[in-house]
Amino acid sequence: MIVPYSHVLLFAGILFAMGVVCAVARRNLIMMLIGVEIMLNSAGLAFVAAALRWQQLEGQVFVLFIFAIAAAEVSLGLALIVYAYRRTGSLDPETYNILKW
Amino acid sequence: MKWSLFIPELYLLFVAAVFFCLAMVVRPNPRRNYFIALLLASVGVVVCLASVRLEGTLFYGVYRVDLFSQVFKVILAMGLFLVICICSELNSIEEKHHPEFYLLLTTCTLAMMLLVSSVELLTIYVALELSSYSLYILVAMRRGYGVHVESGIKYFLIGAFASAVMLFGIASLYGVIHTTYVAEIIKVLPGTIGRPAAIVGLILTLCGFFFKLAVFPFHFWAPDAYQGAANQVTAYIATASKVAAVAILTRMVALSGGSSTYLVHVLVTLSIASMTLGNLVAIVQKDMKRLLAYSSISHAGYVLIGILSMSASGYAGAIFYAVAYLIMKFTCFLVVVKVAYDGSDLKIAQLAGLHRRSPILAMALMFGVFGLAGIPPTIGFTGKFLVFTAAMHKGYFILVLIAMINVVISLYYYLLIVKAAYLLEPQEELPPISLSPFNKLLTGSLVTVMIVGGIFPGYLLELAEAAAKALI
Amino acid sequence: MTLYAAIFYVLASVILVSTGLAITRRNLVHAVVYLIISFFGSALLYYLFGAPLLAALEIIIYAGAIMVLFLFIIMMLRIDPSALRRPLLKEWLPAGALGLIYLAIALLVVSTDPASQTPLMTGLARPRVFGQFLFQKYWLSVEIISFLLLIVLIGSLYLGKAYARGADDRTEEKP
Repeated sequence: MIVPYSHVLLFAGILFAMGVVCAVARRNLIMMLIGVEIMLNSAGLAFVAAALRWQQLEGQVFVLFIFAIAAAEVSLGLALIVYAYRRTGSLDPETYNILKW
Repeated sequence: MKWSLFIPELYLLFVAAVFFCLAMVVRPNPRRNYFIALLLASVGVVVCLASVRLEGTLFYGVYRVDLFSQVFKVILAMGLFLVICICSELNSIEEKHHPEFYLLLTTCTLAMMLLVSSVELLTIYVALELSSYSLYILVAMRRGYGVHVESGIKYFLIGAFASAVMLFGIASLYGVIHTTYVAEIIKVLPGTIGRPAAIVGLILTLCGFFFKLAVFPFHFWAPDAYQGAANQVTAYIATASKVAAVAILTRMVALSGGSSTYLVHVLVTLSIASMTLGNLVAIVQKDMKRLLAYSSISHAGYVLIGILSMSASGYAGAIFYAVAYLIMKFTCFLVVVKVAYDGSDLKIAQLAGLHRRSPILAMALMFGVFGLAGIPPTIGFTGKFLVFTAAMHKGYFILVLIAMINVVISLYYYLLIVKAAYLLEPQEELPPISLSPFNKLLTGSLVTVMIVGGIFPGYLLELAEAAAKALI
Repeated sequence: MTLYAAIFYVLASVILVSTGLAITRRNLVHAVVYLIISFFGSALLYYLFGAPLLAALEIIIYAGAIMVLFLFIIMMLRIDPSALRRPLLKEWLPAGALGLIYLAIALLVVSTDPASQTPLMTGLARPRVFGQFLFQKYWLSVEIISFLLLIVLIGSLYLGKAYARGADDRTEEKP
């Protein structure tokens, strides 16, 4: 007996909300990417808890794929960010406002 | 296991392998790459057409081949073929990287084919990611040292955000319904859709597809990615990728069994917001590609009307609309690519005098734009008519009224394009645009399809209805 | 409250605090280090929920590879922490609103689901069973994801080289 599933879901939800705040509010490309990573991680926790709830393996398989996606996301995202940083010398998305509306 | 069911995907995998090998050839040869791509893509259409009547399931039930998926595979293969047709002057991608360009284009099409056939949430998710990642790279691939990488970053970050939201949605959905197979979800979900966890999970899951379709809260990327990407890539994003998004969104919404009023309310809100916002902001645009981006946001709203009707006629209308949209949007982009042949962005003012520079392109543009606006003899009118009647049958009168008002608003900026092409005179005399016979044939057949499909929609509509039946 | 429940609540609070610290740091290196603590906590939670293989992979891939990649990039770009401006209130506001909406939804979801109040049973997925399950039933997804990694590899290579090429273009433009 661990804890009710709802507690885990609530915990994952709070973590997810933190990730959302980080991805939306921080004016820094690297922190935005980190926010997305936090969101992915919280989704992973929710999946493992659900897998335990149903005593199934599907949820755990999902988490494995989340790891792969997260790795892919970070490598491509950082490649893009480094490119843009070298061009503009800034990580602040506000300075990239050539493309607005 | 019957591998013959998997032939369209295997064929595209083969095409991708061919370009992977060509990417290693040291001396770039754009003409040869173009002809190889054109040949392989046209064979791809034939392969998909030949396999349209196949049915069956593969890989432990995660992959279903039915009429719905096969029709969309044909449309996607057509989309790939059409986009490759306009790559003959691929000036905005470096010659050295043309094989990579074709490789990514093929991979994206392959991913979307996998997407429309997947009937298991994990497979849907990874296929969606594969198509998104190919597009992120394609957007950032434009030649030069400019804005495109920044638009690529914007596209990428919003996409990653949407996919994380979608994952959390799948997680909470899975926490309620203990299965990831669409066939089982469709049995369990209508009974549990009243529970907040299920409905929130489903809506968050749909966010990933809303991003693909550029529906309201996830539309920010569209104008920037459209403008920042190379013209051919934009054409691909605007056509094939939208069709795949419509397909998967239809499949996912069909899951709820039409029994959730919350879901309908959310979709109605998003639909109204997308079309109103898209149309209003499109009015002030000066750049042709940005204007088309906002028009595609508003069209996402119209497609949603068909999907949220949650009836067989609504789904069929949405499928028909997706096909019509692909042809109309592609025609507009054909003109953009040919007029801006050096690969630069096209301002609307630069269309001035098009009717003298190239009468056939001006005519194609006129029909494409009229189709997007929904003016009667074209296929766009039929598509709008179908989705609006489906919504009327369900009694969504206010929604259809708002959509009608939006259509009137959109007429204004569509007519501005036609006015630029036909009535305005350019500042200085510009040379006429020469089209190869192949391009003339392509333009002519697109215009013919737009008109004939508008007047005699029967066959296409029957196909869409049959495909929609496979869903319910 | 069982011992397992106590472990869960302690780990959960550690993760929440360290993530909260991570997302508010101005110095990126500090943020990454706090995040590594948070991911270690997540790994322990995976172990608690009966997924030892995932716990190991979380440490190797998330806390290891991904975060170290972040550290590399932060150090390579030599970002001056004092140069990063503090986010304005009007930038925090939409984010805070979004976060609150998510939180409200989470509370609603949790409080209205009676079936989820029963405590979870412990369970264990042995790596061998897990691997067999993965490669039998999710064979197609594994193939798709490997293709995705190939595509990302091509993309990252392209972008990495693109900078050098871009520099050449600029010198050609301004002779």
